[in-house]
Amino acid sequence: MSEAIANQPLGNASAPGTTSSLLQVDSLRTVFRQGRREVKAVDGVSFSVARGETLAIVGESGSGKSVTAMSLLRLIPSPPGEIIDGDVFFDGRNLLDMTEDELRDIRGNEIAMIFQEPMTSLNPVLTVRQQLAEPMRVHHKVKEEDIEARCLDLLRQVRIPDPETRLDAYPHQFSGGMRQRVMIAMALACEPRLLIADEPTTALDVTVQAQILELLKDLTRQHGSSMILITHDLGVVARYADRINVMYAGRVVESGTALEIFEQPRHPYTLGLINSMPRLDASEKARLIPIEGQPPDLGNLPPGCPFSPRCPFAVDQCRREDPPLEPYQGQHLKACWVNVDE
Amino acid sequence: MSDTPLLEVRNLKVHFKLPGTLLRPKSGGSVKAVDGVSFHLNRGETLGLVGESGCGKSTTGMAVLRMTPVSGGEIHLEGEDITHLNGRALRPLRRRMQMIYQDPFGALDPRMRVLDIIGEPLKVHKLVTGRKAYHQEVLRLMDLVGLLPDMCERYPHEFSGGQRQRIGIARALAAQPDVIICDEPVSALDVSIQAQIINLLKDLQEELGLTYLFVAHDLAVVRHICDRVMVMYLGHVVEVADSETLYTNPQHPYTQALLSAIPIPDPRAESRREVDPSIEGEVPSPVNPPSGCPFHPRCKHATDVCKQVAPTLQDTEDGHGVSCHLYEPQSEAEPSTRVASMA
Amino acid sequence: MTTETTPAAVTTRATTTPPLRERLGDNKVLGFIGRLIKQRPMGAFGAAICILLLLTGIFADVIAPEGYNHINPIDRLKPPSAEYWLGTDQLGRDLFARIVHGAQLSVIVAFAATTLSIVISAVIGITSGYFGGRFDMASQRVVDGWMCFPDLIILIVAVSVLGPGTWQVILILGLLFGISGSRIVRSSVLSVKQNIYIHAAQSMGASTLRILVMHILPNVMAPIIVLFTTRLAAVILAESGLSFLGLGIPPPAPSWGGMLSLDGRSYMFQAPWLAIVPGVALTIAVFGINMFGDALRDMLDPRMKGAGSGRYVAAVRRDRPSSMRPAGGKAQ
Repeated sequence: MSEAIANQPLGNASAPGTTSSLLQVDSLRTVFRQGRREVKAVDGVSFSVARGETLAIVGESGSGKSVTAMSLLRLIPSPPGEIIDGDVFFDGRNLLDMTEDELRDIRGNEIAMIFQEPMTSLNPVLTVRQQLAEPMRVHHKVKEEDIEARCLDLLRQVRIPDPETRLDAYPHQFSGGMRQRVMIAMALACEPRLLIADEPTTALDVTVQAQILELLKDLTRQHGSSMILITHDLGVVARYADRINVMYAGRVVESGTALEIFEQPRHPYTLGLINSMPRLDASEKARLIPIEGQPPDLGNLPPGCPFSPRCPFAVDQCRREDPPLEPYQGQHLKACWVNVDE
Repeated sequence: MSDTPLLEVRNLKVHFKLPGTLLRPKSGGSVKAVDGVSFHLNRGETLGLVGESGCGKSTTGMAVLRMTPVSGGEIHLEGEDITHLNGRALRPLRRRMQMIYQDPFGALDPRMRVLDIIGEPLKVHKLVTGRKAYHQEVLRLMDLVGLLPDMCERYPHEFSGGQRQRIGIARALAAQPDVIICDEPVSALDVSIQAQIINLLKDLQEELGLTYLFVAHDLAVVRHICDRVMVMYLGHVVEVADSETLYTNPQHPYTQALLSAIPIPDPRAESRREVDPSIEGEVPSPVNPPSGCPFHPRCKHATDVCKQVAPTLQDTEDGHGVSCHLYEPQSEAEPSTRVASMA
Repeated sequence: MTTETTPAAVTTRATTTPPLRERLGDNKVLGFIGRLIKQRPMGAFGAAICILLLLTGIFADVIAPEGYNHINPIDRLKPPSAEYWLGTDQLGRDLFARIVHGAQLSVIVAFAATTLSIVISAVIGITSGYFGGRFDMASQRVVDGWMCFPDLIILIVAVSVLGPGTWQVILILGLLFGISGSRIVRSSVLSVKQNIYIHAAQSMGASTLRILVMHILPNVMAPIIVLFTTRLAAVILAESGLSFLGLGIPPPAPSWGGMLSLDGRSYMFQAPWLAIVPGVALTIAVFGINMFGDALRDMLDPRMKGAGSGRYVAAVRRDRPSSMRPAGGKAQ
């Protein structure tokens, strides 16, 4: 199981002899304990990410999408959280079995993460130069004399104008969009093979959002890296995702390519989401079709399918048995007892 | 619909003075949050105020509500000039304009029961007499917004975000206002709940003949609820049109860029569109706005005139106003430089 | 609502009542007491002491009906025995009776002075914090000035002006602690003022008085309650300090501080119980109030978000044995 972490050149080449899946997640379960309450934030999630692919994980608040992403790198505070089951294979190695040191080698190096709030994710008392250089130094990726050049190169890649002066600036001297670019530059410093972006543009203006997402698309394509894009915005997903996982109440309820999900949604929740999303190209003052009811209480889920209380197609079986995630057609998976025809 | 618009705003300006240094207190300059905004709102219609951060849409809403001091211009409510009313004169006015807030959690007093939260306007403006009538009225309002009557003794923290927003809406309706200013009422809600609230607002408007000033940053949401839309940038109005026209034939370069930046939840439709590559940079700070047209640093059609002279709002067609030198009758720009509209 | 029967109309209704949390049972007080005992046992112990103090004070005449000044020179300076549980003092008065009545005195003085101080703190703090501007600046500078003086100097000056006596002590202590406590209330008000619901009440046209009483006051109740308990302990100590210096309530009033300083000191070697007993009584009372106040503050404070104090490398526990899988994982 333990492969020697090869002395890799800058540009993490993949280990030979592996299958096309860069990341393989099996039955991941993460819980949070608050007193006597146990909240099943992630409740049996399985999926894979191929090389060079962009997978979007879509869901509303409480769906477990962020916790899933954090669990991949074991970034869950313990207590109160704990990963109680599952495997996360990254290029053949199980991240959940690694020691802290081994995990630290991966974080920021082969798998990097971008967060939603750039202001709180960047250290306000360190300059951009110091923060960009940190991952490079920690992972011994770049020789000391090359660090400056590499930092400038990174700032240029993320299209920050006038990088020479910007290198010694502090985060508070940047605008929101600029800070997010710095975060992306930091994430890319060691040329990771997998980028996890957790709602990277939710806190930004629309026009800046478009720039950042285009940037991410270009950079991942350029480096051949895979990306997990976590968002609640179906529009962003339609534009940038290759494949989509729809999550609800801590589990994946539907999975497929972007076209499959949007044109043939097979899970009532996916259908409900699509119907209830406001769209620019809707007819004037068109009526939205909302999803009935309230979001689920993760500490107190009903028996059977967690979506059943809100589902217009629910039958008795739905309220008794929890449907597994199964193929509907090829690689298009759904977790539903009912056939939702369209 | 009468001829006088319900709400009329002329050349509104809201400038916040910044503190200077200790020795030079007046040197701080000012934030020109709203810098010459004019519009009107007819009874029964919904006007959307959209824009990104720093555009002044929320401040405009606050100024109309008379919760921020107005630095210039006029606000007329049903013909009456309310711009500089204060104190006691402002009281009866407060009944006629109400606000629905963005944050469903902070907008409700955590120590008050729902009954008291919704009923507060009734008490403040003495609209009902007697406990029984009060109770009945609150229950009627709760029913209007889709809350069950036995929830009236509960406290805000026992409700979800969407339900709290309903409480906020019921509270806004209690005084039977003429105008309701919605300040990003669905931005903080989950997508599936947003649709519920948008539908609720529309139903209420139809049923009660309400008039909304809908402040939002999400143009897709605005599409579903607004009759007319006004786009703001850095304290100015750049374009105003009825909803259909704005979305199918946007004229101002900023509006076009804004619309193309917003993705549509439909991969096929998306593959046919192109993200406008010309939109670079970010919204400048309102403390130091650019000279001339505020959008010129980011505009691919900017000419010299744009850098020097600020454009004014011109009506191009019926009700469609654009504030851009490209569309001015005596503009040097060729008609062919008018950018193609969004498909 | 529209009368359509399509799902759209139905879906705008909230069809389920929100789930009630178990803790919010029918009786909030019982629930609170239960939590107090479970999470802060020392605080619960302190609360028990406070209740004991209160009851002793209220029922002093029942517990020790002969009063605090029943002079009986024959039995002077007797050590604790079956007849006189805590012994007697130099005038033959039953120490137990004096302590019990002293509790009554302490309770009255302490509660009265503390209540006065809380009222002053609340009035100054709320108005200063809410109105802000020059009024706030001016009043805070006055408070600053007041707080610069050592408490003792103020007390001595006040007593010399007003003279000794129960009401004078209550007034002085109330004023002293009231002004300095206004700071805490004010900072609470400043943060409550930021909330949108205050803005909503203003935009609704609510009068200032209404906002202060119905919105601000209930939301600063928690720090005020905590302030009450901390001030209570401080007042008891201050009062006994005054009596110790001879500036407080004059004898024969059974002030614990007075008993400690006057009788206790004089007869320390002959009858040490005269000093020990009031001293211990004071210690227990202040300890109990402080413990309860601390626990109350901890419990009323909003919990910090993200309670995880754990390190950011999640522990992994498996319900099933981890099997060695071939590289690449199993097929989906």
